[in-house]
Amino acid sequence: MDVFFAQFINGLAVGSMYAIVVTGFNLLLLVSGVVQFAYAHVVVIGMYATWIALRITGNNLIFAIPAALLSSTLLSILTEPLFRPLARRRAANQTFVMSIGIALILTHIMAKHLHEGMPIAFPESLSSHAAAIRFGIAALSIGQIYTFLGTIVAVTAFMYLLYRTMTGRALRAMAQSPFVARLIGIPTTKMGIASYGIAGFLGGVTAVFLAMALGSAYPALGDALGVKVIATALFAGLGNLRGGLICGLILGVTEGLTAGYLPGQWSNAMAFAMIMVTVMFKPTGLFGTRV
Amino acid sequence: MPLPLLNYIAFSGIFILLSWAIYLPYRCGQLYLAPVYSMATGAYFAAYVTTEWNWPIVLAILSSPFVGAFFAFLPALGLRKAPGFTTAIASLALIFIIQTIVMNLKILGGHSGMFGIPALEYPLTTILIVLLVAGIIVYRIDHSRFGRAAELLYYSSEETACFGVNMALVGMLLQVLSGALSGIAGALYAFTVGSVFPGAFSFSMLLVVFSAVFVGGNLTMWGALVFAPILWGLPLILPEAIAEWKDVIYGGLLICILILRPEGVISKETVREVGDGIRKLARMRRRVFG
Repeated sequence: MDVFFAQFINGLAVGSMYAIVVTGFNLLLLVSGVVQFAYAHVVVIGMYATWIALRITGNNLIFAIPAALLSSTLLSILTEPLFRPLARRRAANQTFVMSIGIALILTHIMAKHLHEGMPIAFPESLSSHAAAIRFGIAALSIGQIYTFLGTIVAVTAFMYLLYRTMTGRALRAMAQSPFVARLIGIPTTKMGIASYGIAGFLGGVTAVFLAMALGSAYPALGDALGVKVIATALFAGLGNLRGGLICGLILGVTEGLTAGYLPGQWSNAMAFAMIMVTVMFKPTGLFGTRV
Repeated sequence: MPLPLLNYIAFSGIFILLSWAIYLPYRCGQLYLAPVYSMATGAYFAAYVTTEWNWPIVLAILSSPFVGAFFAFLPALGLRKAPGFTTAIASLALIFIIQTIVMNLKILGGHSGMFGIPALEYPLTTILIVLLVAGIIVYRIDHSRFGRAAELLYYSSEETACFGVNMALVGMLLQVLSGALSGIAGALYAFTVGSVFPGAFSFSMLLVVFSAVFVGGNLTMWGALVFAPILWGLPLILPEAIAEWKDVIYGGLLICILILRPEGVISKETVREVGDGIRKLARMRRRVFG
């Protein structure tokens, strides 16, 4: 029972990060019609920016967090012009292929030009796994507590932006119908760029939490995370924001429990198998697609 | 023949087969990324039957497309009706599933994989024969009623339904054919390299193949045939300082072609123009020489 509880908590911590990344991914899909496989790579670049800022400033988190947020936001916005021609003709398959091209370039940059391709390690003060609250053999670390709280704050703020502000209303209008949004005077190009910026900002937040949770990063992390993010979005239902949040947590818990009870590296396979089976019987996902 | 040239030709053949394996389901609008999964099943099957059961290589090669097709058929039962993008992600997940399964199966060598796979006796002849047969099959599919139904499905599923085409069956058959091509590509890979291990069948295997299909031309079979050897050979002939940027080159090519010419370099119009040009030349030759 203790093992179950410990793995459940670990799974929730990981799942909360998946939830934010899936939210950013779904935002791009809804507003711009873009399947951004390279979104996870943008998050990993944010992790690298955090690491560089920490090294330059002597492990000062006050500079590292803005570095992650700024780098992810800027990089996400920079990809917008590349997707614009494809997004205009709603070619989802082609946006996915293009995002693979972008992912290739970003992975190359990380593998060849950042720390000579070697994994980066974050300082113990950031990625502390020391137990803060104990529940038998299970324990919540400081990093996990920050991740939970940070995820709740980030998602709440995002939902507030989406449902309580004019910008959010404009984004939702574009998600429903870009043509009608243009007719009623919404500046669709500007809002499209804004959606990339918001998604990039969420990616930067995730980068900081991932740095805390994993304690390290490596160039291939983008590929591994990217597939999981898209698979989770598919599992929930493409474009389903609320479903994506819940399914991110479900995926994290499934991985955690599998790692606790099965030998070897079955956690990835179990997660993907669960997603595949769901998709085969319900192609629109668990909570239904919104695109 | 020098070994590097032989390896280049062998891998060009393998990538052409994999490119056709992606091209076939894309004919009906499905972005199907499971060729690497089917290739892994074909490769491990060929490796196992030749090293453990001492099958002749020819029998292993002839059986591998059926193994690849079978393993493609299983997920196709659920994915045949899935919308285009769902197929892409679900089939991508298959790559990670098969990697994890083979990593954890001791009978298939686990993390280390399998070694000591016998080499092909006549590698060049074998690969050219396989390519020729596969090419004829893909060409005949393209120019058949089935191929025209798949093409119509690419442009409009509503119109396809009006014509009474069983769209789920078209999707499933193309995925199974894709599995067969990938299975034999896997067997050729195993006999060329002499070993198979889980890390070989990863997402990165898709990169050259993707580039060949989408840069070469995603609506005709000729794009993959011409561009798979070019893109595979590019890093081999470029100076090392440029060759190490190959991932950036592939990524940049994908981005540029999708913005500037989404149908790829060799489009259907290009094929038609080349065909017309060849017919014109033949007529002129007949007039001149009688």
